Amino acid sequence: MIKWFIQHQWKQEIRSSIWQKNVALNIVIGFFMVIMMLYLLLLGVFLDRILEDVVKDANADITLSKILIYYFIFTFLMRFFLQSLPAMEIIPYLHLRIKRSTIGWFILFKSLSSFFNFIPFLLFMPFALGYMTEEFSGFQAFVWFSSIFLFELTSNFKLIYFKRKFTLNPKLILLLIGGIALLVALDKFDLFSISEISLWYFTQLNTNWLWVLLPLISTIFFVFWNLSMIRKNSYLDDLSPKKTEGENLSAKLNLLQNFGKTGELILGEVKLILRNKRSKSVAFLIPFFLLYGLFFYPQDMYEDAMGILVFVGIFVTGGFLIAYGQYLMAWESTHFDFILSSNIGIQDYFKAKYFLLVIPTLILYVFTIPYMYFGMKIFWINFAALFYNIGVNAPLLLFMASFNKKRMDLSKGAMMNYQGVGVNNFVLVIPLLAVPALIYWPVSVFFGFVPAVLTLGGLGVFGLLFNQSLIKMAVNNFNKKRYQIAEGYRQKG
Amino acid sequence: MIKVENLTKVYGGETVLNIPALTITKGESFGLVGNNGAGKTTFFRLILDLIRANSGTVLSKDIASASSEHWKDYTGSYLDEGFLIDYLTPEEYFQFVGKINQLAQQEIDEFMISFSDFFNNEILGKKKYIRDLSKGNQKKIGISAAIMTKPEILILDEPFSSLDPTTQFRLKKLLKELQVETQMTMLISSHDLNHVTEVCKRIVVLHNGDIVHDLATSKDTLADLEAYFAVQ
Repeated sequence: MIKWFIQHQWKQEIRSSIWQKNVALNIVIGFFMVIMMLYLLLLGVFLDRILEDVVKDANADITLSKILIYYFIFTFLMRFFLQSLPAMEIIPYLHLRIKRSTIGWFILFKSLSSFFNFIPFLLFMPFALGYMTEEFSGFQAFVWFSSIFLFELTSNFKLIYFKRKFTLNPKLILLLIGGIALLVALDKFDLFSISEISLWYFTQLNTNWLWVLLPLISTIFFVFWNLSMIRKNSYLDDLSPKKTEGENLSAKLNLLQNFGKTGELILGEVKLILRNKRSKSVAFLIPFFLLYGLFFYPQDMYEDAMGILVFVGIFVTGGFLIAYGQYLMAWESTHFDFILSSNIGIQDYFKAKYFLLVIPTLILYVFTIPYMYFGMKIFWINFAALFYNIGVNAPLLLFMASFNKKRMDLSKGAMMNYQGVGVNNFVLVIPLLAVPALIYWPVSVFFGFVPAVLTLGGLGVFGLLFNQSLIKMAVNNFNKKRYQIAEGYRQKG
Repeated sequence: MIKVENLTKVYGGETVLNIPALTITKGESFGLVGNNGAGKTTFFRLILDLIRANSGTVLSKDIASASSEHWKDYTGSYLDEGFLIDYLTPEEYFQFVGKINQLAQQEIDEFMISFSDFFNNEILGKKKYIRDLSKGNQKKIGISAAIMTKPEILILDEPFSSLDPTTQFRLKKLLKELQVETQMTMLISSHDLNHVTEVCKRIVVLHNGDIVHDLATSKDTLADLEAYFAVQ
């Protein structure tokens, strides 16, 4: 039976339309994956030296033992956000002559393929083979690594239980982050130290290998715990996605109804954003876009390469614009036939989309004003970037939207979700972010800061003045491609 | 009202629809029958300008539907779930459709009251999103939203399938009343020969993209159609 499951799984993977239809996208994603793995491996290889460099008065294994518990907590959280629960896929098997326990084993088995379970091999295997083997013995290195790997497996199986119990919501995220902050604080002020517990465990492990039984037993415990859970809870009403709770925020925006068709369309789209998983997770990302500036502004090295600051400015002020605008129409792909055949003029439709890009950008801009703290230059650059975003990038996105012909499934989260994404989404980001920097940079080199900022902002103002004709251009482009777009949006899966 | 000239649609080298000429007059109730793959949905999608014809045109009130958006002002349609906005509640959806068709709030409210029998207490006031409703209830929403605006042309693709028996009867009655009261032009496709002959005064049979019969409904039509499809 397991053989069949694996075969079906394999077919599901290779027959998923993303694989088959989009080689170029796979290359791009594959490239990023390889880069990420190389980074992890490099970090693993130099881990001992890095650790001894950071904490000079302790051996690498002591330092590592102290932080491993944080690593486990961190990966568990990451799993919580990113790892999906293989639950839906078993529905077609439930009514067949297959034992529930077999299905349960399959779910557990499948969860092993998660990327997180492979990270220890990249990050800690080199450390075990090098440092641990040298300082201790081959056997101890083996025990040490097994223990880490088994802890990860525990967290893998624990997650399956947790994901079934809790759904991701802002309250839970705050609670988790708060809890971790509390642990770190307690550790910092020597009130209660979980890193000492971690150190104690790994010290014991080095003297007595039997301590490896702790993660082993906990792994086995969670495996059987899950199995009994799955046996008891594999009914359709447990598996099908939870009925959505009412969402009332958008109902309060009735004010928009006073703005005719355009207002009505904007209101509809606000509901779309708040009521679908995928668009909601894009909305959750907005604070991170805003904080992006903190990576760059405090570092002096970027002070001179000012093209970079424009790049950052466009991103900080236009994070929502770029993340949402890339899929401008694809968000509505499931009911696109309705959009086309009902009494919405395409011109009105595009106008609503335009406001939907511009208004949140204006609101988000307000939050970037405190970056003034890092200098007035940054303030003026961001101000110009705002105009560029709403004047040039917004109409550009309207125009580019007609090149996106992939149906988007809104019921899945946005993290690591490439359904409905095409190479053009990656390519599109380049002109949005890089072109303004490329315009700004030569002007600033030859004529100085003020003319450069004025050029950038001026282009934006220019775009704003002519926004009607720019929208018209986007509409014309759309009209040429509408059949292909509608056909693409009808293709499921 | 609707005039079709030399209309063809080709998918992958295969002609799925070929209508040299067809005219549907105002107030006519036009029933389209045919087996799966006969081209019914394709025909409706072409009328609604959702797919591009390989040749020919569909004229709606003498204007090609592909070159103008004017037909949207007086055409109501429901083909499939692609016409529903599934993250809205039914009330919000009706509100939206009503507003984009410039109905007053009062008209929208009156519509919802007048359809409450049709909805059978399963749709309004449930605080559920459309995506969480059953297929049959989703269909009721789509059909009633198409009718709500009192369009001059109504296009429904298999309106009777997946509806419960009571609702099927109610829908038939409603459609017949609308024909009498508002002179609404109706294009309805169906697999159920009983229903479609009851509602439509004209029946067109499609087979592999061609019109093979074009009949005015009489008392023999049902028997004729049954004989035709039994041989198929």
